[in-house]
Amino acid sequence: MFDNILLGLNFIINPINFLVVILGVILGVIVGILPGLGSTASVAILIPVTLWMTPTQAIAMMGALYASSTTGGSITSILFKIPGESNAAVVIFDGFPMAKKGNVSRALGLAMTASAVGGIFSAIMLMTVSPWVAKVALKFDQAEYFALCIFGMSAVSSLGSKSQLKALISLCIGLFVVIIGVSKITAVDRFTFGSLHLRYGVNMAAVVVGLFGFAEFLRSTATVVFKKPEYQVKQSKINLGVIKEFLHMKVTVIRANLIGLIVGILPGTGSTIAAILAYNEEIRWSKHPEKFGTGLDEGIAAPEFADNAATGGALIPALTLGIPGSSTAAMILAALMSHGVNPGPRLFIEKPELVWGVFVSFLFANVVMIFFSILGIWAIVKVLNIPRPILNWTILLLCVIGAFGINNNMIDVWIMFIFGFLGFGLEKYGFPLMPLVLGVILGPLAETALETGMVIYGSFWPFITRPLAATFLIFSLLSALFPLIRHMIANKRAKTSTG
Amino acid sequence: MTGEKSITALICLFSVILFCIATTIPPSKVKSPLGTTFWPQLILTILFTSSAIHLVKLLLRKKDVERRLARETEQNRIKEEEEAGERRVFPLLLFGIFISFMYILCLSWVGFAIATPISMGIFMWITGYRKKVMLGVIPLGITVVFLLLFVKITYIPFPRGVGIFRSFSFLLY
Repeated sequence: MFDNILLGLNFIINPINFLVVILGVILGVIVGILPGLGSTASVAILIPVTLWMTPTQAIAMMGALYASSTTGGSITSILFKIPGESNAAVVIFDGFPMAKKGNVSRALGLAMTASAVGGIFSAIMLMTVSPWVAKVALKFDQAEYFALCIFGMSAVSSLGSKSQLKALISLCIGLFVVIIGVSKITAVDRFTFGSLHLRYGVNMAAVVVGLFGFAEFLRSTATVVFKKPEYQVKQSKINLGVIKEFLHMKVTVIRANLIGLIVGILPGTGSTIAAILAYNEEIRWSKHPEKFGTGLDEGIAAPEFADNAATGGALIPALTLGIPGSSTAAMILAALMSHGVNPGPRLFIEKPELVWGVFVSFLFANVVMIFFSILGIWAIVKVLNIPRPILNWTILLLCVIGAFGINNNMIDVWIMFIFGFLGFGLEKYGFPLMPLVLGVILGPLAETALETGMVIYGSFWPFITRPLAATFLIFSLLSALFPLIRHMIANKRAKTSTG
Repeated sequence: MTGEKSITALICLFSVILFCIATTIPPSKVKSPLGTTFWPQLILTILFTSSAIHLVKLLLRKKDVERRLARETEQNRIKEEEEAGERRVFPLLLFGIFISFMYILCLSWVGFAIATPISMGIFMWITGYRKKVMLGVIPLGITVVFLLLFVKITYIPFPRGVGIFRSFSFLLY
């Protein structure tokens, strides 16, 4: 372990790598501040732009962006009641009232320090838990991989969306998209319609840039701002001394961090759900729940601990098993695969310098982001005052250049355009996009595991009888039935309360 | 609600068409116990079934329930827009789709260096930017920055266009 940490430190002490990570942190704070442009869309746009970097640099930069955007979003929540990121919406409940009472520096200090603590905790867990998970995963055979893919898909469809049916439709679209091209197993053309370009398949990076980046351009272009928030940030300093308050809320620190980590590990959940759960649990266990929403320390710290703890948590299954824990982790996986690196347990053996470079950079990003958040507050008015038309066109430019840069051809740009249009339409009518991305990522893995397994085993029987595979399949069934069970429990509770 | 029905019906229709195409995938010379059509047909069957169920659910929804849901959605939208201080404008969405389509189309013909500042200028003007001098300076500036950043540093060979535009692009990058 110590040797591995040294390997990671060796990466970060290189001046270029150091600057790349710092750039990721700065971009993350800016993305966090800007309402609308989330970390998922930003990482998606960055994928092709980072293709000229080494895979370690690219993933380290994206990890840093992911960590710091989660924190940056809270600044606007506290100051203007505008969440820069969806997970930062929970901080509004207590952060904004505290700021309104004149305790801006305390509110910002609590949010920033809690974020840093949550992020550092998740980075440490990432470093300690991941190698262990990878060691277990090395024993996986095709049956386990197939079952794991099914589990990842079922969890996303049931946990991360309001309508299971819509999530399933979205997932199937993603699974279908990656079928296009020459099959890697049977070497047969599928849905290529005689096109040479389609024989190479639909590029994953072009798909995700379209779904998130180009769709964001369309959404932002169609939005007219009629009421600008008043920026009063002259006296907005961060009181970092409030970190000592955490000594008085030890239980909150442990509970919220653990909630964040566990929710982060679950496929397809992410920071927003972690923040909401941590806030709810804080109210449930509080001796004075009626005071929440009036500007309570715990109301700011708990969601901040949890959403940052979830970032590292989401990267654990992503890097060790290839199953993303959140939509941004899915983008990071897509980036890794675009660099020709396959995520999974073998990554820890074949490319330890990549894994530990990313881990140490993630820890480093969580430490330094607090200082860049302070700079972010100074720059906030400038960033928020960039005229929308310039910002929107820059997003389009990055999407076009990004898609073009993948293979230096316009076909990928058109694929990006089509999927952006599709993503915008699907999201408008409530079809979640996360299952689609998961389908794109897990589709080839599931198909290969199934086909290869069938050749090796000669029947489907081992897919359901091998203990670990069976366990994953049972979990898949449970997670698929989870909304139904939740609905039944809620109905029962409603009946008992009325009766 | 009509939009949701249309998009679901389209998905349903496409899954049937693609399923028919999947039946024409030739068999493989490589050993494949499941066959070449199994995986695509499995995915398309699930896609068709789930979208058909969703479509039937939408069609069977009673008129008054649908009206109530539409009203609630509209009220939520207005409330969200009021809170955020933003409003969705449909013509601007159409314009966004149109200009991005035209821009991507023009990139192949006139190249990045010409298509970008012109399209950006038009885009900024139509989406409400009115500082005349900056309307020229910003698009040109951004084009130069992107050319320097991506062509000179990361060696991405931006589209150069055809004919005279290609010759012009070669002067710059």
